[in-house]
Amino acid sequence: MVFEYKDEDTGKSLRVLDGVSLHIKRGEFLAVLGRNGSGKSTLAKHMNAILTPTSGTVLIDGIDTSDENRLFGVRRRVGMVFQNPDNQMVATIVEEDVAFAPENLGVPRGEIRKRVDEALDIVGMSAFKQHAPHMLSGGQKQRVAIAGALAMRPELLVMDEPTAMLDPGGRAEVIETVKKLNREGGMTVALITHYMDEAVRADRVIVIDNGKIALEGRPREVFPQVERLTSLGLDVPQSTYLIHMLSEKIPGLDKTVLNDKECAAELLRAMGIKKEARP
Amino acid sequence: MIKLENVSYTYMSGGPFEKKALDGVSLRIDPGEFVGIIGHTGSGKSTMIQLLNGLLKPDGGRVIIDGEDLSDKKTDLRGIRFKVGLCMQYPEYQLFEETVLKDICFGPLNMGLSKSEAEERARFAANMTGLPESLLDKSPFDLSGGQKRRAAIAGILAMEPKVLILDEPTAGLDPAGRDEILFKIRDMHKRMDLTVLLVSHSMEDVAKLADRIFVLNSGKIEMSGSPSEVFAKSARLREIGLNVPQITRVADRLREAGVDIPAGIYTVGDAYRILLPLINKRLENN
Repeated sequence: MVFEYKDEDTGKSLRVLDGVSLHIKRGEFLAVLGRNGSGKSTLAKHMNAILTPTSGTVLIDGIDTSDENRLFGVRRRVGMVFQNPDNQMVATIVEEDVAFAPENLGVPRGEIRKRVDEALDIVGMSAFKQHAPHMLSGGQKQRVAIAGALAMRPELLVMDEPTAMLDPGGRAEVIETVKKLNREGGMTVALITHYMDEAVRADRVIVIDNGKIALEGRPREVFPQVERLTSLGLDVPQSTYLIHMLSEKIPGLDKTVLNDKECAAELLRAMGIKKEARP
Repeated sequence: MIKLENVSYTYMSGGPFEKKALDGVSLRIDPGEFVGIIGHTGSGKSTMIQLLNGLLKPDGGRVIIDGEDLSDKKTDLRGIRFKVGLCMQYPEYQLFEETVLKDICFGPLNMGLSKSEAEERARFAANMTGLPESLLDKSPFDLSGGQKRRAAIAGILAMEPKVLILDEPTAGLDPAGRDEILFKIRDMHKRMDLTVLLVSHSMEDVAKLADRIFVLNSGKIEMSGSPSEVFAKSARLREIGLNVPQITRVADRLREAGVDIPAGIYTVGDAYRILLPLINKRLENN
């Protein structure tokens, strides 16, 4: 697919997405990386027909997003969570905010109650049901926004840098939640992020650069490519980078380590120290 | 030059949402220091920086800037705000003028400087933040996210504050953009003789730049010290909901397994320098 828009000042056509082909499988957890301006948010907006392609097709569950008659079918299947939770709050009470989407979908009252409670429980915000959203911290607001998407029971959850405004504790909670939703609930997830430690948790990583897919693969295939990632404006997990540097002097290190636990285990192995790493 | 003496602040005192945001905080920051302030959401960071330029007034204790008590009615708060530049989170949302240059000039013009003086300062400030001259006549809304962030920081720098407080200056930027901004901030600190307070929950960012770190937890200062002193207490940091750099966790795990590696490692470079000879020695012995 291709997406172009017209620059109002110059009248020139600007190509943001340039021949992207991508198939997200049911139940997959996909991470999308890329520098600012690479086109990754534009890609996300194509997933629930906020934008439709200039040429090419986007199909959600077989539905063409350009088919205006079936817009509702697309939107119902794809929950979106954006970076800034303030722009996503519509109600003055947390539980009403979460109920917004199912209300619009015509879900029966009792079912809405159930979905709202469940969604707030999943994101750990049940205690704030009756609070006003503006009284919450940024992290709490974002968890409410996620609950709002979940209450719609979408097939695909698209998240555009959902943790950019959260602290490490909040980030970990959100990512654990997403991981749990994906693993236990079978939710298909497309996560757009700048955080490499989030991307390593995905089944598959794609890197968008200049509107094209520049790199694609499992995290273990993508992250050892330190120079390539750096040239794309990204970084790699510190653990991966350390092993990469040491590998230049010490042959035989496993360059596919992605986190602190694997890195420590690999270094201990290299030093011939046998010790069960703690979980 | 910055002193907090037993400072407390409570939001919505007496109401159902009463929240003690700061609870008896005392600290001192000397001119020219580069200080990192870390803490999880709700730890009191934002309250503290708003107290530092008089946007909030303490319920108890004293905030003293350059010897002036901000609660004292005689203190010129306007003057304090020119002295203590506060760059809020996502400052690009505050851009409003027709051109980038005019936006950056807003502060200095408010200080009573002439147009030419203000523009001279604006150009210097833009240059300090790495904003190209060619963008100054553009609308701020045509800039990229990273450029807008720079323009907003330049607007504060143009007032030539003595203290620059940055609240999460890299939030939402990609890794390359993040490193560029951090590098520029370090540059400003050195070249403009600024005292810098960097508020962040990115441990990696703070560790890269700050000489001294204050860790806030539940409205109190939980610990303070050099980055390596603070990161040496990684277990406690994790307990209070903060993360430590991934490389610190690697070093912690190695130490637990009996490897002779000091506490408080927080850069990949340090870990590399310590580990390379250790591994080589092991390989020779085996």
